[in-house]
Parts: sequence; C-alpha cells; structure tokens
Amino acid sequence: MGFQFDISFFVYEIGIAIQYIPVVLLLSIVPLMVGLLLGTGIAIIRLFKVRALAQLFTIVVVFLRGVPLLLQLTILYLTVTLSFDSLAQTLDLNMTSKDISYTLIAVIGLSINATVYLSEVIRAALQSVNSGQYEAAYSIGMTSLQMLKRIVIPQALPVAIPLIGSNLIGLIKGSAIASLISVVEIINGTLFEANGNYKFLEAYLAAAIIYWALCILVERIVAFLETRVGVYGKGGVV
Amino acid sequence: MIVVKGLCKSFGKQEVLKGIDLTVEKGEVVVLLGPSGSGKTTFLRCLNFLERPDAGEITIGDTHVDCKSVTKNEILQIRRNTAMVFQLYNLFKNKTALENVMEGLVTPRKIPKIEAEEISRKILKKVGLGAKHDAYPSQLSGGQQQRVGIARALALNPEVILFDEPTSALDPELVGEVLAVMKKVAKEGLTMIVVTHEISFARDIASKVIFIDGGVIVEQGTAEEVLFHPKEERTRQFLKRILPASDYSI
Ligand SMILES: Nc1ncnc2c1ncn2[C@@H]1O[C@H](COP(=O)(O)OP(=O)(O)O)[C@@H](O)[C@H]1O
Ligand SMILES: [Mg+2]
Repeated sequence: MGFQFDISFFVYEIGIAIQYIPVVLLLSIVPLMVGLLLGTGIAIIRLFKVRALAQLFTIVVVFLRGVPLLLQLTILYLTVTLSFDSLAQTLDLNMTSKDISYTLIAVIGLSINATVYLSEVIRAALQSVNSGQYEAAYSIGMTSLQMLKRIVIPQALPVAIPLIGSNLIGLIKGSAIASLISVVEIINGTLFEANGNYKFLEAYLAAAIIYWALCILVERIVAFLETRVGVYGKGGVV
Repeated sequence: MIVVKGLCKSFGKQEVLKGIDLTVEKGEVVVLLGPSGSGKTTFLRCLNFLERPDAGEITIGDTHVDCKSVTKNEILQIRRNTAMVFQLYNLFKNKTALENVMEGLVTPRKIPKIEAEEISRKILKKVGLGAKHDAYPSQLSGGQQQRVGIARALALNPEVILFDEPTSALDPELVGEVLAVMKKVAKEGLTMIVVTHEISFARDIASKVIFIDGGVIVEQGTAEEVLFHPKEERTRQFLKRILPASDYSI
C-alpha cells in the first residue's frame, strides 16, 4: 500500500482547526495586550533611567531574551505544577495541581515573553524620535507626560507598528508551544482527531494552513494600519 | 528683566561655564558671540533648564531660582517664561505649521483651541507664512521652518526668546528672510538673547554684544564698542577670524 493523502480527512481537520482559532487568539492577543502595557512601562522606565528599576528591568530583559520560549513555558509550567500541591496544602486549599488551567499558565508565559520583546520594540521606537523633539517639547513648557502623549508617541507609532505586527505573528506561532504543556489548541485539537487513523500528515497540514492564514491576516491588518499613521506630509513617514 | 548670577556648568570634569553674570533689561536684544565650544549653547540651554546648571541664580520675570535647590515646578515656571529657537528648528514633525505654533498654547497653557488658533494664525501671518498653515515641516524650506520656529516661540509671549544660531543651518539665500523676521520682532520690543555670527544683525539690532570664550564673559558693551573697538586681545583675534577684512576696517 503506497502513500495516500486523504483529502476529505484533511478538509475535516481544517474544520477542526478553525474551531480552535479562538484559543490561538486568546494565547496571542492577550499576551500582546499585556506586553504592550507592561512593555511600554518598562521601556519608559529604562529610557528615563529611573533609579534601580531601570537596572532591574535591563537585567530581566537581557536574561529572558536569551532563553527560548519553549524553555520559558515548560519551566513556568513545571514550577507551577510542582510547587502548587505543597502550596495548596500549606494554605489549606481544597485544590490540586490538576485544577490549574494550563491555558492560564500558557497565557502568563506568553505574556512574559511578549513583555520582554515589546519593551525592546517600544524602547527602539521611542529612541527613534530625535532628541530635538524632546527639547522643543520641554522648551514650550510641556511636562514629560504631555510630551510623550502629544509628540513622542505619535512619532514613534509608525516605527513601532510593523515591529508590533511581527511580534504578534511571533506570538501566534509561539502559541503552538502551548501544545507541549497540554493546552488543547490547534495542534493538539487536530492531532487528537488523527489518533485513531494515524493520518497525522493531514492533521499537521491542516493546522499549518490555519496558522498561515492567521499570519497573513495579521500582515494585512498591519499594512493597513501603516498607511493610516504617520504620513506627515508628502515626505511620507518621517 | 533677566538676571543671571554665577552660573556654572560642568560636563564631567570639563568646566564649560565658569560663573556667568548677566543682566538683560526688558526689550533688550543681546547678541552672544564666541568661538565654537566656548559654551554659548550650554548657556542658553541652562537658562531654560534643558541643561541643569550646577550652581548660580536665575531670575526671569517674577520667577527667581537658585539652581542648587531648584524644584520641578520652578523649572516648569521658568520654561513657561522663556521660549527657544533652535539651530535645527526642531519643529514637531507630526504637526502642521499651525499646530506647531498652537501646541505651546493649547497643551501646557490650556488656552482654548479656538483662541489659540486665532493667535497662531495671526503670528504665522506676521512671520510671512499665512499661506502655509497646513504644511508639515517636511514640506517647508529651512527658512520657512525656522520662521515657524520663531512663530512658535512668539506665540508663548515669553519674557525672553533664546535664539541658538538660528540661521547657521540655512542655505545662504535663506538667511535673509529669517533675519528680517528677527529684526521685526526685535523692533516690537521683545527681549531676545541671540547666539549668532551674523555681524550685520548684531550691528543693526543688538543693544548689547557679549563675547564669551572658555566659559567666561571676556568683554561686553554696545555693538559699536565690542565689534569695532574691542578692548581685549581675545575679542580682536576672534573678530579677525569671522569678519571680512573690509567690514572690520570700517
Ligand atoms: N551634553 C554634553 N555632554 C558633554 N559635553 C558637552 C555637552 N554639551 C556640550 N558639551 C561640551 O561643552 C562645550 C561647550 O559646548 P557648547 O555650549 O555647545 O558650545 P558652543 O555653542 O559655544 O559652540 C563643548 O566642549 C562641548 O563639547
Ligand atoms: Mg552652539
């Protein structure tokens, strides 16, 4: 018996994969939002060299950037599950590690990862704004907050948006790693269906197509946003 | 009135300003001259705390500060009493000419938008850019950008406008239009401190010329005195380098 590609099973698996898109979005959009929020805070703290905090975050960022996402997630997963039972016991909670949502652990892990990368993205975008802009803002009597809101962020956005977009694509693809800590997302969902008939190629291909479609969609949205921000006159993005 | 006493500023071990004393009366136009690296820019930047002086006292209008114990609020107060025109214009790139002029009124001073726009339109007209309200900086020539820079400063109605070599980044044919605007506002009685090597401007407009070298005031007096009858050898050496021979012999 030679190799046979089961088209109808493949189509069926695409349908299954589509059902898990919300899980992928949860695993990527929430970390993106958390990352944007915390990352902006960290970037500003590092940029304005806030004492102690700036150094602390620099060390954390450099450390986490150097560890693969796969390891970050599994280490977080193991730490939480292994320490949870004894922690629950001492706190007299009627829970065991079985009750923790693996999805939540994955969301937290991906959020940490996104925060690290986005803090660097936002720092680079803020630094791309010429120091003369900061000085002019101060010279007309703006406070630091007014300057950020009115001058710096609007100019940093055109630089940041494509980078944020590629980070989101990274998060969508990175969410696949959550399958290794038992989160049922696109990969585990489609593989589960193939367990009985061993048609794993169809399952993996269906998953791949959906990831690809999601990433294309994000790219389109980013391209659209890029045309909407930062066209200051005919010189284009300046 | 502006009074500066004993202003000092170092960068690391390098002492850039070594105790500057200066009094500028209301409506005076003071021209600062000096070789490159003598501390002219640093002095202007200290006056509005873009650079934090190490020591000295600054009085601008009703705000008096001791640089050693200056508070955030006092810095904001001083900045709102001064305006600066930069060598490289530093117009807000994300704002049109009109928005650039309005920004200092609307955001820090909370003047209603309609009123701010009216003021700003008038001032843009005064600097000859009535037709360029909606242009972004990238669509303007250097001379036009600098005139917007002057308009932005004028809109704030400050005690003093600080000019840091406002024409030195311009193509020669654009210098005239900017100097003309500066002369116009000087004649309206604005207090100005101007770093420039445009001797004609100093000769025609300055009520006082100050020569700075090595972080100290070497010589000061009227334009006539300092430019054409300098007492100090260092001033003479400097003028010989920047003045065309014919000018100097007048
Ligand atoms: N931010 C800074 N950090 C270190 N050194 C500086 C800084 N700004 C100016 N300087 C130094 O201070 C001296 C005076 O500079 P500046 O005030 O720009 O002179 P000028 O405007 O008269 O040419 C120069 O030697 C310059 O290198
Ligand atoms: Mg200078």
